[in-house]
Amino acid sequence: MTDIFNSLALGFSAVTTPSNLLFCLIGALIGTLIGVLPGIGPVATIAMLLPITFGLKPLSALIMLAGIYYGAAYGGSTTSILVNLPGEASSVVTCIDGYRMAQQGRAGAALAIAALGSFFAGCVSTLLIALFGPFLASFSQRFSSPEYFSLMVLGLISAIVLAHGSVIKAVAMILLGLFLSLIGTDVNTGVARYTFGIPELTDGLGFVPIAMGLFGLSEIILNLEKGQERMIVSSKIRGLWPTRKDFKESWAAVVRGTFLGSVLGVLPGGGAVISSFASYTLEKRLAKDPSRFGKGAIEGVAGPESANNAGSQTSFIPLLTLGLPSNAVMALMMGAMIIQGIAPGPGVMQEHPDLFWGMVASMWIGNLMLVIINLPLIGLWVWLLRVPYRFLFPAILVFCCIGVYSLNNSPAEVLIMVIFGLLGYVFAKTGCEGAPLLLGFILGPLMEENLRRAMLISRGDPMVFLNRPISAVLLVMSAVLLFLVIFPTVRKKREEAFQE
Amino acid sequence: MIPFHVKNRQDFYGGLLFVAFGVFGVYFGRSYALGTIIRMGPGYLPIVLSYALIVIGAYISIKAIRFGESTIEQYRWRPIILVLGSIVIFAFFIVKFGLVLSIFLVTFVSSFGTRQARWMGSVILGIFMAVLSTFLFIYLLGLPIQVWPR
Repeated sequence: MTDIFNSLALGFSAVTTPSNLLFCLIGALIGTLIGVLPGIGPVATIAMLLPITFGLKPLSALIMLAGIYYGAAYGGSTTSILVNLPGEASSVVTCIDGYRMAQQGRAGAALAIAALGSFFAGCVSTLLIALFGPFLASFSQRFSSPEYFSLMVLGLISAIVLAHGSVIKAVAMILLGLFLSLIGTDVNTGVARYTFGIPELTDGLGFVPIAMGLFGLSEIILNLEKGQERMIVSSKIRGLWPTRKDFKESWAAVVRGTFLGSVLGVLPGGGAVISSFASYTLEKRLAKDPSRFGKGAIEGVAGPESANNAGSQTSFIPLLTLGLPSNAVMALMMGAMIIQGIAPGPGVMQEHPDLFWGMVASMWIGNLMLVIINLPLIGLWVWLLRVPYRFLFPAILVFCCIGVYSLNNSPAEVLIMVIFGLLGYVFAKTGCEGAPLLLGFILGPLMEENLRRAMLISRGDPMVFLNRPISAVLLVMSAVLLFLVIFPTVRKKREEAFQE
Repeated sequence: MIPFHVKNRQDFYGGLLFVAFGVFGVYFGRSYALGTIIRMGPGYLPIVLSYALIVIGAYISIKAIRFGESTIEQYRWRPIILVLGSIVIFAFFIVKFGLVLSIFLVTFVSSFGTRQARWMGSVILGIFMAVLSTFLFIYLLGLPIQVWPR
């Protein structure tokens, strides 16, 4: 226990330098901004800003990028409540009761509960990372190639289970992601695969152009296609502070949301979005009078908003301790770490303790900043919403172009982004999700390497994955998960959960 | 386009897309050495994955003919061409003509992706973005990018 406090102290001392605090603030503010603005999500933003962070110190870069992620979970709620427009997928459910509360003149209470609930969730999940991080990291040090391969299989399977929409299409998207990751020079033999003599492809496709194309460009095209300008409802915010009754009704929802979000965030494929949906469903089930939901029930704001923040933070646990990104944002964070010369995984905590604990500490500080800054700034965010999309999207495109180009000053990567923008658009039209593809793409090289190495060790005996206990458990868990998804009754439950 | 009635159009075309990727992988990957399961060659995993994509894609498409219900939403060429086209212009202009001109063109061309765009407004937006991004990325962040045409 004292260990953890010492470590946290180390983390806080690493973060509380003026420049790191500044980057934490910048990240949190940018996160809130994109959380407020519909049509641009954390994945695209982090991909866009990644090149800029190359010049920073690793800790500063990661602090800022992490801030964008949890900041977006905060910011998304503001517009959900005030104008019934979720800035982020993680705040979609907040619209249901949050906007109703605003219509009833209780916008202030809803915003305050969302912020305070998020802050509580942020504190708890920061502690959870500090508690479970070292444990998981020391556990995973016993891993070698077969275990890593099985772990990644489990990661990908859970990503499928928790993905929205069709299971089989998610499987196909992961396979496609794995396939795309193999493009480039084969590490073991030096053979150039699928490069067609294009020199830019010999190092493989970059994940930044892919992420930006899939999540940024295609999103813009889809928004333009819908063609509607946002309308702004100007509702006066009266009385920011919730009443005693509000607190009484919502504290339990906050606690449950935090717990649920923390658990779902750790699971691969989990994170902010699924946590908020699950929490809303749970609150509705547990409520004495479920009919209040949809008519301005404060639990319907408190639960999901706490859950999405907890989920967005605990999803750092598998990345920092196992080197396994659990969602698209974490995949980008992993890319950022690799570019900074840090191998994500159990080694992080030992080789760069200041980095690990610094990040943990920065999350708590960032959450505190968000609570303090956000409530007074609500007016500004709502004003920003008035910037018409027709001025906004060319600006986003400019940032995408410069972001990708500045990676290697290579126009070819800009064209790759265009190709993936088009692909992302086609995927959206055919109901295929981009996130599993990105996960597969990031994990692909690691899986190939570990599979090949495991096969070398065992002389081609696939039983190596089952003879080793940890690996076997991981694979059995994957099989059970896959079975559950295919099994019809569970599948129906899952669809129900996503319906709500 | 297709001679029979498909119930689940999203899945049908999605599946075909996966098959197409698989065929691409098998065709262009045919020259890479497969190796054995103990010593996998460079072609082993790409080929395995490509065949898996073909099988799964075909399954999705065939199933979609009879089961489910979905349509492909109406698509519009205007935003697709102007958004992606403006970035293609950027890719071909940036090295020779520098940041200022390229950014102006990206902003100007893409802004017509919506019908509400007006000539004057787009010109002003283009100049604004060119100035802003030069200031931000060149002077503030010091990115090594050509600013003016060479």
